[in-house]
Parts: sequence; C-alpha cells; structure tokens
Amino acid sequence: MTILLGNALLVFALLLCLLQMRFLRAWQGKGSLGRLSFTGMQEVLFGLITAAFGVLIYAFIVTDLSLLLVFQHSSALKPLLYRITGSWGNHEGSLLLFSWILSVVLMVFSTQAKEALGKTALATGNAVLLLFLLYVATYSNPFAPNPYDVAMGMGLNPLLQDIALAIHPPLLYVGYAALAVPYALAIAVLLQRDSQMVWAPLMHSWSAVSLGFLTVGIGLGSWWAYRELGWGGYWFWDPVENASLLPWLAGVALFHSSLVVKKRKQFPVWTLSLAIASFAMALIGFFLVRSGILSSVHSFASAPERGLFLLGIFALLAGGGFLLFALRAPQIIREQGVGLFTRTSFLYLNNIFFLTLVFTVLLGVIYPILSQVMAEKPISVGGPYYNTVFNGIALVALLFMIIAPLSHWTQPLALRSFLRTHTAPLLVSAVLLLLLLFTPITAAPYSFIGSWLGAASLVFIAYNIRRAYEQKPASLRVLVSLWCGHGGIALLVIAIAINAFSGAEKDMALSRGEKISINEDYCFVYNRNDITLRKNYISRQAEFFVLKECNAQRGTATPEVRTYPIEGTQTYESAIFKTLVDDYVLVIGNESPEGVLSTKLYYRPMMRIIWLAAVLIALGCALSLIRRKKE
Amino acid sequence: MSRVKRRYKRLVNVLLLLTSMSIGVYLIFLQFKDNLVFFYTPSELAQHHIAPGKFVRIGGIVKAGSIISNSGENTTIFAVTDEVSDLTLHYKGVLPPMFREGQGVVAEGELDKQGVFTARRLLTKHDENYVPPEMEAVLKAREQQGNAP
Repeated sequence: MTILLGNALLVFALLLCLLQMRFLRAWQGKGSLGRLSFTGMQEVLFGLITAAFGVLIYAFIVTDLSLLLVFQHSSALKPLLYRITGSWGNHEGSLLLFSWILSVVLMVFSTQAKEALGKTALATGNAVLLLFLLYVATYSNPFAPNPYDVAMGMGLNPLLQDIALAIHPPLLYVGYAALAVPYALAIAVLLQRDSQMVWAPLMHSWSAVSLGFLTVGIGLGSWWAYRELGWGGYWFWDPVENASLLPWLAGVALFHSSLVVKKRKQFPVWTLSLAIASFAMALIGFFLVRSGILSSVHSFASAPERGLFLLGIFALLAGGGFLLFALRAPQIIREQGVGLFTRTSFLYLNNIFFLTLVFTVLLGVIYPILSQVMAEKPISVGGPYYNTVFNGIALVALLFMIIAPLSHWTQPLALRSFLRTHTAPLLVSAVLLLLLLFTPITAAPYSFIGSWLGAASLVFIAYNIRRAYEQKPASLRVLVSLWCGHGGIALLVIAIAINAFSGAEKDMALSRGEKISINEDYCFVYNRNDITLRKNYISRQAEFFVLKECNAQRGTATPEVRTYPIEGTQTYESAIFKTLVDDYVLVIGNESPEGVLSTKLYYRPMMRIIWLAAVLIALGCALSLIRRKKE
Repeated sequence: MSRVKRRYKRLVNVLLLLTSMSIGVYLIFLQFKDNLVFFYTPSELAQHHIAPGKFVRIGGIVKAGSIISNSGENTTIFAVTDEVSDLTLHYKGVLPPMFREGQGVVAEGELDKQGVFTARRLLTKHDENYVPPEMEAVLKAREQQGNAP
C-alpha cells in the first residue's frame, strides 16, 4: 500500500513539474494551459511531494518492513526521533528530502517571480526539480519493495544517531536548493537576452539565504565530526566536507557580486557566471558525496548507475548553463571599467580570491578521483596542501575585507584622508601587532597574521559602529548585517589561528587513580569504568574526575565506547569538558586485562568562539534579508 | 586617454593579470604535488621501494594473531596483510573503533630505515556497508582466497 501510494505521488509530481515547465518562453500565455495560475500549481506540486515524503516518514515511524529502505536503514528498536530522521539518513530518502526542499524553494520563488523573466526562471527551476524527481523515481526510489521476508530491520548507522547530524542534511539542502534560484534566474536572463538587471535584488537575497543555511549546515557537520569521530578535530579537509565548502565559497562570491549589480549595475556578466557556478558546485557536491567515488568517513555506500545519473544531471545543468553563458552573455551586457582602489575594484578582487579558493579546493577534490578512475592509483591530498594554499589566500582576502567597507563605491581610496579619518583604529592595530610580536605565536606565521588581521578587523568594525552611532546613517540595517557577517569571519579566523597554534594532544595508558594532563590548568584523573546495557547498544563508560590546577574538583568527564549489536559497529563518544572558551576532549579505547585504559586527551582552545563565529556569520546573512517596509 | 594609450594600458593589465595568475597557479600546483599521499598495499610497498620518511597510506587486513599491545605505554604492534605480503606497523595511542583481527584498516604514516612502519593515524571500516574504494580490491582478493580450496 505504501509502495503504491508513494510511487503514485511521485509520478503525479513529475507530471505537474512538466506542466510548470510550460513557462519556458515558447509556451507562455498560450491556450488554457497557459492561464493556469503558476503560483497555485507550484503549491499543488509542493503538496504532492510533501505527501510523498510524508508517506516515507510514516513508513519509517511504524517500521513498515515492506519497504526495502526501511529494512536496510531502520529498526523498531531505535528511538522515535531517529526513526524519523533516519528517513533521510540514506541515499534515497535524502534525495526525496532534497526534492521536497527544492519544491518549497520554488513555491516561495513563484510568489516573487514577475513578468516573463520570472516565469522563465520558474520554469527552469521546475526543470531542475524534474531531473531530481526523475532520479528519485528511477534509480533512487525510496519506495522500492523489500524482496526479503524479514522480522526486523537492520538499524541505522550509529554514527548517524546524533541530533546534529540529523538536522545537518536538511539545512545543507536548503543551502543548495536556494542556489537553484540564482541559477534559474541566470538561465532565464540568458534565454531572454535580458539586459535590464532587475534580477539582481532577488539573486542577492537568495544567495544570502543559501549562504546562511550553508554556514549553519557546515557548522553543524563540523560540530558533529568534532564530537563523534574521536579525532579531536573539527575540519579535516575531507572530500565530503570540501564538497559542502565549494558552494559556500562560490556563494560568498555570488553574494558580493550580486550586491554590486544591485547597487551599481556593474559586474552583471561576472554575477551570471557565478550564479551558474555556485549551483554547479552544489551539484558537484551531490555527485561526489552520493556516487561512492570518494574515500571518506562520511561517504554513503552507493551503486555506479546512481553516480552516473547524478553526473548526467551535473553535466546537463552545469555544462548546459555554462555553454549558454559562453554563447550569449557577451552579446547581452557589456562590463564597464572599474576604477582602482574603489569599493567596486575591491569586490572585483573578492570575486577573484574566492574563485581561486574554489579552484584550490576543487583541485584537491577532483585530482584523486581522476587518479583513481584513469590510472587506478589511489591518492589522497594531505592537509598541509589546503592549510598552506587555502589559508594563505584567505588571509589576503581578509586584509581586503577590512579595507573594502571603508572605501567608496566610485571614488578611489585616498591614502592621506584614510589615515586621517581612521587614525584611532590604525594605531590600535599597530599596537596589537607590536604586542603579538612578543608572544610565541610568531613561530607560526599564518596563526600570527591570522590573529592580527582578525583582531584588526574587529577593531575597525568597532570603530565603525561607534561612528555610526554618532552619525546615524540611513542604511543601518545593511551596516549591521555587514558587521555581523564580517565580524563573524574575523572571529573565526582568530579562533582558528589560536586553535591551530595552541592546540595539543597526549596519549597515555592509565590505571585507576592515574591522571592525564596537557597544561597546568586542568588534570583528568581516571576513576572507574562501567558497562551498561542500553536500548540498542552496550555502553562501556569511563569516569574521570576533572581537577582544576590538579587539586580542586570541577566536575566529571565520561567518555564512552558504544557497541551496537544489530548494526555490528562501534562508536567512540568523546567527553568534552568545556571551560569558558576552550575544550578538553577525552577519548578512551581498549582496556587491558589488567585494567589499564588506553586514553587520549586533546586540548582545543577557542572552540566556543568558532561555533559563535558560525552563528554570527549566519546571522549576518539573515539580517541582510530584512527589507524596510517601503522598499 | 587616446585609443592607443587605452589599448596599451589594457595590454599591460592583461599581461600583469596573466603573469600573476601563472605564478599563483604554479605555486598552488607545487604545494599540491608536495602533499600528495599515495596509497599502497603491503606487496605494492615492497615493490615500489618507498623512501624512508615519506608519508604514505597503507591498506590491508589486520593479520590474525599479530596484535601485540603494550598497555603500559599505550602502543600496539600489529601486521597488515593483503594475503601476499605482510607489513609490521607500530602505533601509539587509542586504537580506532572496530579494530580487531581480520578487520580492514588504512594506516597513514612513514616507513623507517629498518623497514618498520610508524602509523600516525589508523582508519577502520566504521560501517558494514561502506568500504573505501582502495580497500575494495584488497577485500575482494581476500574473499577469493577464502573461497579457493
């Protein structure tokens, strides 16, 4: 019954998608089909996909084993929350989730799409949705029947039974889906040969939505890896992590470039290509993560045809988009010249910086795949490549992030007047630099420069807040969103710089009563080790006393090893002792027959600031969406 | 500005851009090349004569009966095999989850002059379904060995 219903809903949704594509220019306004309300139809489409997704979630909640997906990825023993979130913790379900989110995005966009351009863009968006629905219905069907006669399900991978990881895909998917609108707008502009640039505010808003959700999604994924993988790190330049970073980087470029189109009617060609590129990055992300081609802790198991279909979608949408761009863009709009040292020129540089960052990460992701596929030589790209190249470029971009908001759109930045108006923050920054020279952080050049530039950025932002308070500018909302976004980036860089420089780790084998410590601030004394049986796992949990300065007890830390009998796996649950901004992470391993426990302690400074910075950046994106009533 | 002067200025700008781009791309590729980590099975490692101190990845199955733990120093010595050759690894620290005999494992580290491999990081299969692409060949070979009389 569920199988029939689910599949029927998918087929109806597919047909309606095709119907919505009628707004491609050729068929607009023709006949009775042309008069059907496009917002109304978009809402019906949303309803159909919601129903289909609802059927799937229901099947997971009641553990309907007639569905192969439920059998493979769930069990009645799982807590209700994870039965629900498990519906998208697998390949098929997550693609249905993405299709649903895309239908929401298109429904909202249908209320904004005006005139021929908007309708063509909506039709393009529906074409994208159509491709994904086709994929779901054919190679990736969540409603496939279970050929086996079984009494219970196989359970959900315990690594995924975590609240952060449950929300992480939906948030990332909103980020990816939101990029479909700029893409659709760009395609529509190219198809219609529109040179008016009315599309800029919408493209800017949707890029802000995407960036905000991507920031939170990536942050949550990073937080999960930090807590769950037991390696005491929050970012590993893992291919799957990079796959989500690529659209974020392109999204930053798109956000700033579309801003220039909106404000100054400059960079339209750049922005159109960035719109196509950002969505292409999101599609690459899908392909890389889902196709099984990547070697990563995060990867899903998958079959080759699935990968090929996704590659096909990417080739069609990205390849087709870029081809259209190459053929038509130069005819439609001409880029004007840019004056040196104007804000426009700094944002031009920004585009270049972020595209270079995209290229850097893309090289590191694609090369191993090419090497494996073409030469059968498995290769991985080491962290130092990314840390050296990416961070280097990012620091240069950070310098311009400080200067650009202080410059004028059309008048070049004059050194003398700049020195005069910004003497205070310049002096403070110089003092900070001198102070930093006396700290040990000079041993690590990137950490040194990063923490200085980040601090200088905050100083300038504080100075501008003070000036705004005195002068009360008209566009305060824009300024606040800029301060949040850029301030968040500055904090993130400072935190990462200090974390990288001061972080440390220690391995020890402890008997009961012995302690492990990295610095004089905190000691961790191993007390006992207990085994308990839980609902779907066996827990071996160790208790450590946390002693401040090795004498006063401040609390306990309980790292754990969980063994899941049904799924046949084991996870390490690290215990994180949090001070105001720093973390101490404890991981335990095996216990010897004599009772000696294998232990690892990580000291990770500034972690709280990293998470705060991510929230601040997302807040900045959200604030940029607020419109004054009269706009 | 006259047309010629404008063209000249544009040419200079383009050349400057291309030069800086080329230098940038060259530097990126240089860093990239230096940080490529190659993957070897134990037999491939023996064949290729890897220089001591080079950071590489080794993949294979943990050999039955080869695990020696020194709980006092938190170190483990074990052998990794691909059914053709073995390699002895030294590892200090917490062993990854599911580490046991017969488990597929990927180790990152260096070989020293005596032929002993110091593993900096160990990765085991975390899921019954997921197998890293490099491991598939090794595991398939093992299955076939198991099936052969």
